[in-house]
Amino acid sequence: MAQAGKFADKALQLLRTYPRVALNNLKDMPGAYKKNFNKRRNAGKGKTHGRGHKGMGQRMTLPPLGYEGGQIPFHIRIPCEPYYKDHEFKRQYPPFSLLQVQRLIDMGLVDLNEPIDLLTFCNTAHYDCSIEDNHYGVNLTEEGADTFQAQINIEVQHASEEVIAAVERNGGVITTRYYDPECVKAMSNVLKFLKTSTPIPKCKLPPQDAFEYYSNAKNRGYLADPEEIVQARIELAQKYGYELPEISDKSQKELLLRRKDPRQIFYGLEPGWVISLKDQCVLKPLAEEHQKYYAS
Amino acid sequence: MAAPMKKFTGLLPPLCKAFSACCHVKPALTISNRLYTPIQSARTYSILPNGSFPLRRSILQNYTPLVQTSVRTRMDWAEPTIVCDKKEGKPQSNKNVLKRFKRLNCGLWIRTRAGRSKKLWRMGQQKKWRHRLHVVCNASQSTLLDKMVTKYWKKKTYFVDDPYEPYQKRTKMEKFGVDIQKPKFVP
Repeated sequence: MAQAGKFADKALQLLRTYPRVALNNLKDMPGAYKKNFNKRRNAGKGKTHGRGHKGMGQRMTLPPLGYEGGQIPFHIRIPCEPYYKDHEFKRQYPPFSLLQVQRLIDMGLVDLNEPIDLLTFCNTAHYDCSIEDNHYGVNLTEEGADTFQAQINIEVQHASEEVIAAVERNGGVITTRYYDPECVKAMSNVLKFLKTSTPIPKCKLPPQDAFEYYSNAKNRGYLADPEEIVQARIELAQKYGYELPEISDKSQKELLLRRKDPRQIFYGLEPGWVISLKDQCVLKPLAEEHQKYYAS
Repeated sequence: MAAPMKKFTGLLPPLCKAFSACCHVKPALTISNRLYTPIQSARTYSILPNGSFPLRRSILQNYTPLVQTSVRTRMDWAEPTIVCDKKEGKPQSNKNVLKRFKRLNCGLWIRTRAGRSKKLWRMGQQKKWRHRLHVVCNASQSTLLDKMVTKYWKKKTYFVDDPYEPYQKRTKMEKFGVDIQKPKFVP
């Protein structure tokens, strides 16, 4: 083999002395990582980029926010107060007024032949409920209670006394119901939940601080005794001065008596079932362990 | 006249030493607790080069200036805003602000009053009541506090049975030429 040259020969000789290529020898290519540069200086246009000539402004050595030249700043001078104590763990209920419910019925977005719950509110896209922001459902407010005229079977998460009176005056039924975060996530966006093809979750019982509210007949809680609710309905009618209308229609009566199981989320579907959108069928659990777990 | 002047000049350098020692380390109390007992430190710094005590002071009187000489630096008072955290790579809010203030849904900030628990024996009944109230922040103060806090704390909240519920909405803005409470459009 002819000589390749003085320098090439030297380079080949060097290569033989080098160690083998391995993971510990590898190095990143040039330009693999982006180098951070100061965007504030490059942004904008003109001579000084809106930062002026000289001084602390141009060199970006301005004092931190809230600094008052050495004296105690305002945001440290004020005494402490636990405003945000347990802020992340508190439950939130975004409001939805009776006037808005009446509007949905008039526009034809809600089917009156079926009971209304959180799922129907979310499906109309007039209501937002995200569990990421600790939203646990609907708080029905009393705006438009005087003009409300509809006979409905409604299920909400929180309701005041005036709202209960406004619904029952027209011959309707109202219940307050708790959903745990996993169920709220499934109900807020049903299509997204069904695409995951996971079994329908079993609803948990309310936590300790909410158990008293949902087991009280005055709030029409779903864990309350049904005989006490009948008595509470009569008491509230006497307080607000209206008469409970009698229902003669059989189909209307069946609609108003429809309730969910405390462990159930969707009407007509039970926890533990899997719905496949591709095959358009429902899969039910057969093993004893699964049936025991999902039983209420 | 000469003798007391000498004594006075002799007293200055050891005190200055103590002062400078405290300046380097932030909390002055920790030095006295760890290394010296308060009595020891008071004696060592108050002795003259001659070996005699300059003034007849009690131990407590010598001890108190040592404690109070904690000099705060510039960064202690106002910490810089964190735009990008090293661990998470996210902006972070100032902890001092969240301990003392609350943001309402309409954008106002509320706070307590400074000195509400100080010298109550001197206050009258009306002043005590006035100090207990919570007040609204200034416009320039609230813009500053908005910058110090992340997006999470500016979200609207919907708590049930909230004591701040009547204050969450702004009212009586007609005199400024702004109609906040417009009637909702209902088709």
